[in-house]
Amino acid sequence: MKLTPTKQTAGFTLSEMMLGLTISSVVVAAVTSSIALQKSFSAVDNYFATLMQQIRIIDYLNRDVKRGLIVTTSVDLQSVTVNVPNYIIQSGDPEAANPALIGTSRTPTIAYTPSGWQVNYGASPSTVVYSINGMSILRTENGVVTTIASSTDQLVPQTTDVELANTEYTNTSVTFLPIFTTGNAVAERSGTSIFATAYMRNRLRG
Amino acid sequence: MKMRFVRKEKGNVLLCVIGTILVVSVIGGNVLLNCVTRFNAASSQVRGWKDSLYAAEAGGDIAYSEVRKTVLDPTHAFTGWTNASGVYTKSPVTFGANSLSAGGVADVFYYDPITGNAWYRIRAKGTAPVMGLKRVGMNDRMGVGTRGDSLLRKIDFNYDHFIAAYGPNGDGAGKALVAVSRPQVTRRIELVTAPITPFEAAIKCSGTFYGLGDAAQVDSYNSNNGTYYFCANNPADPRFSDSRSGSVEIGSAVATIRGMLYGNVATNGGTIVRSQYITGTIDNNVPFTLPPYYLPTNFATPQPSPTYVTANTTITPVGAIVCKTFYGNGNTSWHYDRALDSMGEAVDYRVVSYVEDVR
Repeated sequence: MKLTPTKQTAGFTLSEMMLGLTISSVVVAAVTSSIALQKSFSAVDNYFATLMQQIRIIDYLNRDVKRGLIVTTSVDLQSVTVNVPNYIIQSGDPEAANPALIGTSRTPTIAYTPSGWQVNYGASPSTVVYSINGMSILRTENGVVTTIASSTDQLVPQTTDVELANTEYTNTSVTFLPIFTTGNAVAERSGTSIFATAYMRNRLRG
Repeated sequence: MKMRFVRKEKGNVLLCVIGTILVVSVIGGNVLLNCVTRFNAASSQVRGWKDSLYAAEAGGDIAYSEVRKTVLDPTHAFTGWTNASGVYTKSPVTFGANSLSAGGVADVFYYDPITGNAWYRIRAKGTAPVMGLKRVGMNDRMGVGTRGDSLLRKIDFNYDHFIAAYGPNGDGAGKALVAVSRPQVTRRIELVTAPITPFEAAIKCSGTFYGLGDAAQVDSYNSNNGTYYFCANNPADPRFSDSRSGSVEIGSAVATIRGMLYGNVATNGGTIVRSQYITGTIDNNVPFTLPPYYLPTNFATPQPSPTYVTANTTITPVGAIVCKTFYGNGNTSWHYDRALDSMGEAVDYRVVSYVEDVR
């Protein structure tokens, strides 16, 4: 019997296979690495964005504590109430009967009380409350709510009010849980801590 | 078998590589852009915002030192300041590596109705340049029409927003669009300085102090509210708030205090060892001097004698002791009259109120 070679047999040669595998490997590697890179970039971007929000929370809080009259913190240290001088005339205030005065500053008044003299801006101070609501950090001044930070990274501010004999200050730390963790969430969170101390200027040693 | 070369074979490896590089570059570029924006905000805008407060407080300190001069060195008070109808204005002072600017305005806004002592209000302004890229900060949208950082750090990129919205003095007058030479951030604070009167403590002693005996007692009352009776250990008493101002201020480290003291104690380097007998605060780092004092004409003449107070001696009127040295070796009780809190001419000024204008 004589074998007749099949002239139209289709197939890939070894070199074609090698080349094809190489190309597909490169493509798969490129796609995989771009996804990994995208995730890494996203994590970095998110980390930096949340870091900026940490700074913003602390800057807001420190500004209010410095000008504050009374500072109190909740038991879980996550809510802070600050009474600040009511420096600006707001709509609804007695002085606002003259609409031109809305948005302008008050002149302080001096009152002598049983415990001594007292500097007053308006009838009562403004109340500012910092609190956590879900993923957001809220600042509420006289009922007006402002979201000062909002992140899915679980931002947690904690403030301790330290009242000494001749001064008073607050220690604040803000942490968050980054997207990329190695399994030890506690350590990851503590690695993001930012600390700040603000002294109440109105409690200066006299 | 003869193999035939395919002469027109097309490849797309290069395109794939270029495409991949493009995709990765776009992602990386976007991240870098975000990071640069945030770095710009963190390194330049946050720093400028903090620096401007330091500048404002420096402006407040400059004005405060001039207010103190009105008592301590009246002939040189507010020298170099512009006085317009009692409002003293200081042209901005530039200082620091980043050319921080500090300026201030001081005026009397209140006179004590009894003593005539002036209370000064200081409005200080600090400006710091915002280095880095001239662009707004974060793109985190916190609410409709608002952005996270710009609610807090109001940066003037082209125009001074404060003058445009509230006028140069913040009272709504003289609003104008004033261009700024470079991006800057300005913060404003307001301080109130109160006169310090000579009889603010029950006993004020610039030198050595050898205190009262073990059974002695220092407390206070307010003659404006009635005659003295002891209530310093009864918080329910309506006069209780007047009873714990029996403070002792000692300008040296030699401070021996015994007995019960219903008030605060301040020394200049002293050490309190019987703190359980002091109800108020203890501060061992308060140096002070006793400036010359002229007795107001409406005051009772002080008693030059008896130099020594012997047993069962009543000093009338009861008030305060201001002295260079004090030696009290007896179980004496001393009741400070809080009506003296604001009596007498000012001997110095202290800052009693701090407000920031956050507009």
